[in-house]
Amino acid sequence: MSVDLKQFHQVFIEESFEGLDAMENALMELNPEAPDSETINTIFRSAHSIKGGAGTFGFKRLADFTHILETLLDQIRSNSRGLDTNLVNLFLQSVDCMREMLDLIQQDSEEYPESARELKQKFEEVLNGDSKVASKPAQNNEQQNEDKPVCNILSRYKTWSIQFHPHSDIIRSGNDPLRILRELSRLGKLNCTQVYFDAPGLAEFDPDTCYLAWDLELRTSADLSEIEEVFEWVIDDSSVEIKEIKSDSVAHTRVNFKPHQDIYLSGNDPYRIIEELLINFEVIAIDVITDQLPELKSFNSEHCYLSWSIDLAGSFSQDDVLKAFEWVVDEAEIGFEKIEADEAKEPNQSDAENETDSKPANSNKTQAASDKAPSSGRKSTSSDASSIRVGIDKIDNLINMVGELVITQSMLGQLSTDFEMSKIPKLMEGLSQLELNTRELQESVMRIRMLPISFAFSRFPRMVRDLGQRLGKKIHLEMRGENTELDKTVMEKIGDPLVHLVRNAVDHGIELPEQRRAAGKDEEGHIILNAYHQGGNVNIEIIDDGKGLDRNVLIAKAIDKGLLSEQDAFALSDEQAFDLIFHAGFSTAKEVSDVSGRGVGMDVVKKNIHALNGNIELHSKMGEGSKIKISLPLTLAILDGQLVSVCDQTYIFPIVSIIESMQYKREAVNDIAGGCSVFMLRDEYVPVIKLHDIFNISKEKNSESQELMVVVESEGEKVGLVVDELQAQQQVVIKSLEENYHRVEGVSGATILGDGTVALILDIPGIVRLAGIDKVNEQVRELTFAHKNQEKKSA
Amino acid sequence: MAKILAVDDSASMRQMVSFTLKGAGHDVYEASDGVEALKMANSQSGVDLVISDINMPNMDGISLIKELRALPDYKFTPILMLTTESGSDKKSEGKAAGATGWIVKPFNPDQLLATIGKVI
Repeated sequence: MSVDLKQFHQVFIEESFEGLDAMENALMELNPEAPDSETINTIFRSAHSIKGGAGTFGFKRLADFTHILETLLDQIRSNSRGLDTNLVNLFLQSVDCMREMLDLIQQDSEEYPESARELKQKFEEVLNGDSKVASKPAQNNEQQNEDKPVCNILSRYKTWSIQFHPHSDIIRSGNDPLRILRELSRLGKLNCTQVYFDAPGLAEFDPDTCYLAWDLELRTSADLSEIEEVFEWVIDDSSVEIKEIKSDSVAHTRVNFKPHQDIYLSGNDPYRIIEELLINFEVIAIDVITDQLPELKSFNSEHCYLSWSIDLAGSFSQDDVLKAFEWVVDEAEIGFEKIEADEAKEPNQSDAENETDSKPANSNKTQAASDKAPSSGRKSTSSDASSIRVGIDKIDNLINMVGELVITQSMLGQLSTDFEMSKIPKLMEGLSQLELNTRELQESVMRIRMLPISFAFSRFPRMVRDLGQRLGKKIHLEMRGENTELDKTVMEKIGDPLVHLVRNAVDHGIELPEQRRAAGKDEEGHIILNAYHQGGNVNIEIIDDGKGLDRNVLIAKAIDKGLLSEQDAFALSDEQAFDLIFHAGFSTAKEVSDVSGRGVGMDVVKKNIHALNGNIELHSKMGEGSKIKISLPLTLAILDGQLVSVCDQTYIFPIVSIIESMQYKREAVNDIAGGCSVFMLRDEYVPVIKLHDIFNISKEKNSESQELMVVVESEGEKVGLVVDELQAQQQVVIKSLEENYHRVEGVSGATILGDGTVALILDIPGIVRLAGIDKVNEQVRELTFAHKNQEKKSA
Repeated sequence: MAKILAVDDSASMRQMVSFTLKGAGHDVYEASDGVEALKMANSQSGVDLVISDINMPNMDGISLIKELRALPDYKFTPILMLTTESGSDKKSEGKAAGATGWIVKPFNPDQLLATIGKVI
């Protein structure tokens, strides 16, 4: 039976990742001075499981790597080795390394991470520090298996004498001597030469005790180790003696076997017949007679040209021998010859070897090839489809919901069979029930994609610990609201920005212990990760009690980088000053450390969060710390949208991007250079984009007076979009355009409205790019500034 | 066809064992640790074979074997443990607890079938 192990790979990889998480957590918890044995056990179990699985599923390198880890952990577990911080760090590194290896396995890559080699060497050094018990024995074992001697056909079959005297308690261990005998008989031909039955009188007879013993004779091609394997589980307690019975070259019988030349056509194989003789008789020599072989040109591959002479020792009847030839005896020539002891001739072994060995070798090859074919064919389908673990309660809820939907549906169905006007209230009731069911179902389905944010948070304790150690800072990390749920896709995309922000907090926020002491703070810095739901959003806060942002440093830096003029700097509010760090090319670290400031700046963080329809805010107070608040939509699949109409078209604005809406007054609009208009919105100018221009919709002129303007935020700038009408606000399900059509600038997706029409969802930054407004912003800012000065003067 | 109880905390190993045995026509019950296995062993009668991992949370394989052997129904039931080559002392510990035999990890489905063929 062949089982395709590939189908278990995904499960193995997932559970290994989980195991590694558990291992990491346990390592973090571990106090090297006084290790808790249960914690050590957890770590050991993880390594052990990964090793077992890796070996079984054929990931040899991972198995080798975890083997050495396991050996070390086993020594620690049994208290034969102490533990220190250095070793814990090494283990933590190995967790990362195994993660990397698992990633590679998932990608079907044959690569071996360099770090694994280094770590393995380090572990070996630790192991060899006091003894030479490295992974040698495992390697030796394998070699033995590979170099299994190819024995020739004669020496393969031997007769063994086996004395099996089981321990009297054998049955109590669940080992049944009968099963062992049965197993032996599978190896070859088993004869029982003697049975001992040494039972006491019936009064003392204990049915749980084994009183039997056997002397056996086994004729088999199996070697000693295979026979011993049968006794593997009992050999320590029972008395088992296995000896080879050498056959003397005494008088024997020679069987001359000349098969019919068409023997192959009957489906018989002379080789199989000889094999049978080898099993049942003591064959001492086989000679292949090849003189009938024709010239190559007249050779017919379907014919058998060979004949054999087989020497059998021992006593037997000719009929027994003929049984092996039963199916071919009528066509073949078979003769028996008695050979005296001194005539025993040296068998022409080389021919016999060539003949008999070539066949099994061939058949092995074809088998190997057929084994290989399916696995290589399946490779392409190896699943990188990520899976999701869903709590049973969610599934139950869903099933419940569907049940209710079915009830409502059947209720409505029944209503329609004999409908009268008087039943309209009932219909309305049914429809509202349906609406309720649908909404609940939608919510339940969305909840399936929801994962607790601890998935994203879990890496931080380790990261903060490692960074803190490296930078010489004492940091306490507190995580709150770890059970706050978030869409899986959002979770995956928020990971990197969060890492960046936490790194920043550790690197730039928290001060060194002595600085903190000098500032009158606790030596240990605090970082809080807080997640909570608010409205339709998830908020994540990263709070540190470090030195906070220095407004003046930020402004000086911005001026230095040419992001800001000195004049503007004067007018900036604190908030605007802090916002500077989100500008591209802004890094306040004096020197680029390897912890943060590695090119990915806060601008990228902001961009990533905006790409998720999220928002990021920063509050900071000099000397007291900073707080970064990220708000994200719960899911990417559904969007809170504002429906607007432009002529007869409907578009959808993401509500998060809308700041306000107002009447579009022609008199408040100025045209400025660059073909752009700006709108005077209270005391600032806002560039105006007419949606019908962007989408090339022809428009009747007189309608302009009723136009509305929606003020939206695009990458930190306000922009006014002119539309005809505002319609309802509703949740819309986002359908990707890229998947069904192709990417369209200015449009992030589409949705289907209640009446079945398709509406496009606007991508605000894209629209702004389309209108070419982003270049005008500088001008607009100047205008606003000038306007403010004017106001001051007039005041 | 035999009724087999497969105990392992690793889901992939358990699935592999279970899939292989089911493929060979056996009736397989799965448990993820010793406690669960013991509960299952108590509620099932006529189990022909128990295959158990050693290192498991809650109740490890050795304790499971001891508990099982103490049950009248499991006095003679073959119990095989899954071990790794580094666990030679585990083998004797397991035997002392009453294990019938062992299967050394890593093993492939064919080896598994061949081994359980010894006891059922």
